[in-house]
Amino acid sequence: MIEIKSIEFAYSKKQKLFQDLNLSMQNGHIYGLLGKNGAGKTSLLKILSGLRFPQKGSVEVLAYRAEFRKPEMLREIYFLPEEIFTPMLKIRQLTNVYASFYPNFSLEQYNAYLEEFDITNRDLYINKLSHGQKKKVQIAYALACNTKILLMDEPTNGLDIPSKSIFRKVMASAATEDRLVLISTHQVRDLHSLIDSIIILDNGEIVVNEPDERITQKLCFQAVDGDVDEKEVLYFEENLRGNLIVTENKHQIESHLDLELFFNAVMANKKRIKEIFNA
Amino acid sequence: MPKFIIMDTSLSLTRIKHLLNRYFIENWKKDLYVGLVLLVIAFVSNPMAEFSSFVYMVMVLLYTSRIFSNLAYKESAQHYLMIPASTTEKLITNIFLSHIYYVLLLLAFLVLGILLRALILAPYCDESLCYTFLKFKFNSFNFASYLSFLSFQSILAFGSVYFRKNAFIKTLLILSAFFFFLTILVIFIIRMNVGSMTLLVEEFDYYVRNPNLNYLIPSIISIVFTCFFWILSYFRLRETEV
Repeated sequence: MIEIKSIEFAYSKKQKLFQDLNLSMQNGHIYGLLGKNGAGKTSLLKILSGLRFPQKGSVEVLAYRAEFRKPEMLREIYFLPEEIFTPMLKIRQLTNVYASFYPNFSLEQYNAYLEEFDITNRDLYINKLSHGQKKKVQIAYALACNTKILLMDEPTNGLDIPSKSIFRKVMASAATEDRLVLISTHQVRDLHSLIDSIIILDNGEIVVNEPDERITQKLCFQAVDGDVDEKEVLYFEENLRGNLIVTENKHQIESHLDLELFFNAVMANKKRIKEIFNA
Repeated sequence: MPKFIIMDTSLSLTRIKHLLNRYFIENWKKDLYVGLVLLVIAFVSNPMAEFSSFVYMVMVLLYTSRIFSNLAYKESAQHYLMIPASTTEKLITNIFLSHIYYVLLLLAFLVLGILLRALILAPYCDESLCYTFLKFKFNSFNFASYLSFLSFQSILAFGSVYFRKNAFIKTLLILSAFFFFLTILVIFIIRMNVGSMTLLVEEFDYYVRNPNLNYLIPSIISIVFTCFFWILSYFRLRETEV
């Protein structure tokens, strides 16, 4: 569905953001794109949408070259940026104007998602709503477009606590076998239960691109009391109850993936973790 | 339920229709307000006066400024570029709006204003003043001047995709600077040729006496200019990154 081959991308000649970056993503997954500030998460989403062009390499989305922005590709891809554009339209008018561009748009779903987010008055102007409400309308619309690819940049930013849980619920219901969802986020705790594959971007390279199961197959996440043997652990964090540790899962111990711990472990011990996954 | 677009071509009339529909739904109120101002001006002033022509030009500029909003901000630009329509379709929509729709809108409000003036003021004032509409000749809207107008609009359309922030003002400033330097250049050439002025006068005389040339050459230049800026706009829009 998405195939990135050896792309090179830079905003300035001095500093390259991506160099020889390769990435492959398949339908039927919800990918979480994680990375530090400035790692290039938003830039990657823009490259996939055809809003930015790589200087070298190729980006194929649904077998179309992304930079050509062909309507056949654009009608099957929806990009929800962090800073959303709000047209001067009423909530119900949004469908009259833009839905016709998306062949699988469902008005019923749009209304149902709005109901879920507790937006009942469709005669309100979108540009006059609060930031959180604007985001809810855009999320509802993005999901109702039923595009094969859905790219979301920090979708939970600006949502209140109940809305975050509704977001997880509607996202789970919208995930289908023929759909690929890529969510870029810092709020790993918000989306932990939703994401089934993790992509970690650091220093212009993809450090990890693995499904949840493989991560817990290769690594073990545990809470331990007492001292930690630093030679054995890949990463540890102290908390009130003791230590949270990440170790190589040599004995196939079943553990629950802690996304935040995993991300910190990758950042702290990148080389070793790459070796473990490549073994 | 909205109708779906199923054509897999880079030029679909249905998509153009939907792009226009998007524009009309989002902008009809603003277009109407500008039109009402125009109507009032047409109602209170003599449509043949030079002042009115200036106002009409400003109104067309006001209308045209609307197409600059698509790429004005990062959020709107991302949204616009992600609309599932090809670059050609987006460009055709912009050309239709700036080259045809705004002119029709302007003419409609202008004629309406003059008609209202004739109908409402008729019982109270001098006949010659009230029935300006009957005297109003459309000479000023001949094809050659429309072509010049098109080339001007094509430059604005190019400015709308070339610049981002304050694109409208930047385009107008560059246009003003260009015409300023062009005027200086013409004055300079005339001064340089002041010794052989007779030749220039003869050439000018030939040009004025030949009505075909008088009409044809500016029209050809306008068409070439317009097409040139359409093509530039296409490539610029296609290469736009946000």
